[in-house]
Parts: sequence; C-alpha cells; structure tokens
Amino acid sequence: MSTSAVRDMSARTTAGSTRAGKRSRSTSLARRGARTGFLLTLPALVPVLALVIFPILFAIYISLNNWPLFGDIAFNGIDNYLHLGDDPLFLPAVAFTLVYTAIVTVPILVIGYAMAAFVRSNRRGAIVFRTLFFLPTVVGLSTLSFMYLIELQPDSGAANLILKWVGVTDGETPWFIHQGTALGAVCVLVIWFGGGITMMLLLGGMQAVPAELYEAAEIDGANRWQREIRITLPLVRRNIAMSLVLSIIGSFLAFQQFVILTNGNPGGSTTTVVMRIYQKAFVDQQLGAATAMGVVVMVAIAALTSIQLFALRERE
Amino acid sequence: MSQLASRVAIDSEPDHASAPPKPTATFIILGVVFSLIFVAPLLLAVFRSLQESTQVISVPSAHSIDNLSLNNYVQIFVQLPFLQFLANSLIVSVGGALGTALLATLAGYGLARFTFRGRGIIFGILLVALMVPFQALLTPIYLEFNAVGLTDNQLGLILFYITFNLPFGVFVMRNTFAAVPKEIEEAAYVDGDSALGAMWHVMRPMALPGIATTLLFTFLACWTEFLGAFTFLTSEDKQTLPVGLLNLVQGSYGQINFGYLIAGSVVSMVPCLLLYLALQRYYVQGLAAGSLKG
Repeated sequence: MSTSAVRDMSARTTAGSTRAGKRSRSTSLARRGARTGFLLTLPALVPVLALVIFPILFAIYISLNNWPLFGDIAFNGIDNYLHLGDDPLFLPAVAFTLVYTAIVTVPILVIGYAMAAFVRSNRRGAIVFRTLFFLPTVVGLSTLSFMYLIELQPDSGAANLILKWVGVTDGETPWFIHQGTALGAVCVLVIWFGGGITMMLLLGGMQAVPAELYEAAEIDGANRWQREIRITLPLVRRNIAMSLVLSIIGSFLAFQQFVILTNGNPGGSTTTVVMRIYQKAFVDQQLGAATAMGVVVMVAIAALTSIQLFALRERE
Repeated sequence: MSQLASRVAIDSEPDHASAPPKPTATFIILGVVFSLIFVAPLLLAVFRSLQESTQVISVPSAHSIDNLSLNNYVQIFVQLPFLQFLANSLIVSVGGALGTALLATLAGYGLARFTFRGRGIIFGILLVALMVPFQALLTPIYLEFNAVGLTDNQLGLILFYITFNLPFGVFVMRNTFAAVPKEIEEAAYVDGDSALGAMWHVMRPMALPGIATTLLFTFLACWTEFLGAFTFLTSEDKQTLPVGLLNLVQGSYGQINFGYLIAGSVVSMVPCLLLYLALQRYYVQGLAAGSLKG
C-alpha cells in the first residue's frame, strides 16, 4: 500500500463520514420537527378518535344487534334495518321531517338572499342592519322556541293577536292540536331564525363580486333587477349551493324546536327523525334499532355533504 | 345594546378613500321595518318578563302594564333551581370553550407549521368529524360514556362539546397560523426557543384573533346546545339552562308559570347578545372560516 493510497483512503473516509454526519443530523432535526407536529395534534386527535371515529364503527356494530338498554345483547344481523319500517313512528317521522325540510328550505334561502342583498353595500346603516338581522340566530333556537311558545298562546300571544288584527283568524287558534297548524307554526319560527345564517353565508360571496362588473352593466343600461339576475346570482351560486346544503342538513336534524313546541303532538304526528331516534333509544330502550336509524341518517347526510364537497371543489 | 351595536359597526367599517354612499330614505325605512321584524320579538320577550305571570297569558288590556317588576327574575332564583342551571350552563360552556381553544390552538399550530407522516390522515379524520352529525351517534357515545361513568356527568358533556367543536376550531387556528409569515417564527428559533416557546412568544399575539373566534363560537354553541345536554345529563341538579326551562314547560314544577319561563329565556338570551355585539368582528371571521369547511 503506497502512502498516497492511504492518504487517499483516509481522505475519502473523512469525506464520507462528514457527509454521513450531516445527513444524520438533518434527518434527526426533521424527525424531531415531525415528532413535534404530531405531538401537537395528538391532544385534539384523541377525543375525535374516541367520540367520533370509534362511535361510527361502534354504531354499525350496535345496529347489528338486538341491544336493549338493560339486559342481554344478541346478534341479529341486519334485522334492525329490515324492520325499520315496522316501527310505528320511524317512517312517518322521516316523511314529516322531509315535508318540514321541503317547506322551510326555499323561504330561508329567498329571505336570506334578500337580506344579504339589502345589507351588502357599505352604505351607512347597512352594517347596523346586518347586526340586527342576525340577532335571532345568535340567541339560538331553544331560547327562541320558549319565547315563541308564549306568543302562540290563544287570545294572549302576539302571533295570534297579529293574525286577529289582520283579520285572518279570531286570535284563538290553539296551534298544537292539529299536525298542520303545529307544523306551520314551527316553520314560521325556523324561517325567521334561519334567514340570518343564510344572509351571512351569502354576504361574503356577494361582497367579492367586483364593482366594475356592476358599473359596466349600468353603462350598458341594465337595471338593478337585471344586474342582480345576470351578475350577482351566477357569481354567488356556489355560496347558494353551500348554504342550501347546510340548511337542508340542519332542517333534517331538527330536534329542540319540536320537543319544546309540540313534543311530537298531536299523537306523535310531529315527531322528527332525531326525536324518534332519541325515543327509540331512551324511552323504548331499544338501542340496536335506534342506532340503525342513526346509521341511516348518517348515510343520508354523508350523501348530502358529498354534494357540498363537490360544489366546493369546483371553486378551486 | 344598540349603542354597542353601532360602535361595533363603526369599528368594522372598512376604510374607504371616499365616504360611503349616503343611505336613501327607502333604504332606511325598509331597514328599520326588517330590523323590527327580527328585534321586536326579542324586545317583546324582555317586556313580557317584567309582567306578572298571569298577565303574560291574558288578553292584553290597559292593565297589562300594571305592576311591571323584576319579580319573575327574583322568583326563578328563589322558587326554581335556576341558579344551578345557570351555573351548570356556565361550567359546560366555559369548559367546552377553553378546552376546544386549547386543543385547537396546539393542533392548528402543528398542522400549519410541521410536515409529518400521517398529517393527511389527521386532516381526513378532522374532516369526517366536521361532517358527521352527532345526532346520529347518540347511542354509541352514550354507551361509551356509560362504560366509564361519564353519563350524567358534566365532564362527559364538556368532552362531547370539545370533540364536536374541535374540527371547526382546528381549521380556524390552522388558517390563523398559516397566515403568519414564517420568517417571524424562524427568528424565535434562532433565539433558541422550542416549538412551544416560539408559539407562545411570537405567534401568540398574532393568533389571538383566531383564539377569540374559537372561544366565542364554542361558548355560544355550548350555551345554546340542547340535544347533548338532554341526552347525557339526567339529574336535575346537573341540567343546563335550555333543558331546565324545558322541565318548566313540561310541568315538572307544577302548572307552567309563563312568567318564570319568559324570565328564564331572557336570562339565557342576554349573554348571547352581549357577547355577539361586543365581539362581532370575531364572530363574522369565524362564520367565514367555518362556512368554507361546512
């Protein structure tokens, strides 16, 4: 071995070890960064895994069993799903909830759109109006339902007195003894409440429309109505799609407004789907059958949500 | 309250080189009419709460405004366990809001600033959690809670609230941190800070609006939540306001006292209104962030 070769070798080793050292240091830094990132998300991940992801799988398992609240659990395959229709209130509740959703969805959208169009400018006062229009939404549906219950009392409630004053009724309507009037009363509350959310969801989209488009259209002689239909509406259609899906999901999951105002009466005819799930589980104490209903709702909502995701993807 | 509203409104008015266009008379008249439609029922509730309980449900007459008093407010605290309901609502709402904000801040920082294996999966899991309706998962969650003694336990309800508000909070906080220039944070690392140290010293001031949004949204969501409290809490002394008021409606305390009911409703309404009017800016930001993700 010549000295030059030895020198050469040692040089190569030094170079090699230096390179290796550098690599291992940068890997450990990246690894530490990766570990930090993971550790930071872990505390949030644990409850979500425990109370969302696991329950989804657990729900499927529960729904495949005859699972009383107390007593022996027995596997029964897809029996719970096959017998969903045997429940005296489940299918009527689905139908009722769909009718309710169908009634409130369009008015919420139209009123919300009108409100958003009204307050979208930066005119003085517009922001104050925006704030005021949104107040019922902030208060929440439970508290509003209690207040509304009082205003629906025959002879004394403001809703009845206004209808009497307008000359539509005698002011003595007991709203909750018929399915139709009970449903109508709840729909009015929810439309009044839900317009504010839609307004806020549409507002962002409307304010993103470039002012030049309106100016150009105005020069071309388009009136206000034409500008709304031809410019604003197409440009906010994704916001509309999104608020529609959110509103439909919200209506389909209706619970407290009916529990507080009708409690399902008369004769269970104003029972919503979520109310029925609750009753099946905790009143009838049949968790298996109740969970099967829950899984059906989950699948239906997932389908709706994928429409929403599709609408959002288009934006990019 | 209207004073508060107008102050917020002026604050949040974007700066424009030219003064905003003058409102027309039609605009003002229509605006006032619509405002009345949305605000008058809330004011009516406040008025009702001052009436005697029999006046609340009697045909209005010249005597409807006789004897206006705060008696209903006194009585709900004396005759009903209303103080307990109020305290319970505060406990679960503050607990839910603080827990959500803490976990969302950590996770939002982790997701915005670090790349690590499984990041995509964690994102996917949060997205699923954002979209799954908890209404459909009542039974499995109930059985889980039951197995570990968290049914009829406010800690259980707080965990439930944290879980279902977290996805929203994480997305808000992730966006907040992602908007902070990386250079600012790197300076902290050069000064020898750890990741948490950098977050605390440098990012905190810039993250505060996001944290405020998360706190406000979660607090209001917990304060007005009904189904979870109705399902997971069974003892009366653990109940929150909305469910406590339902007991009143369903006659748990004898004949329905509408004076108590309306006073109780006003008490649960007021914190929502005050928080919203005072922190409106953060509320609107949160709504924009939340709506992007559903």
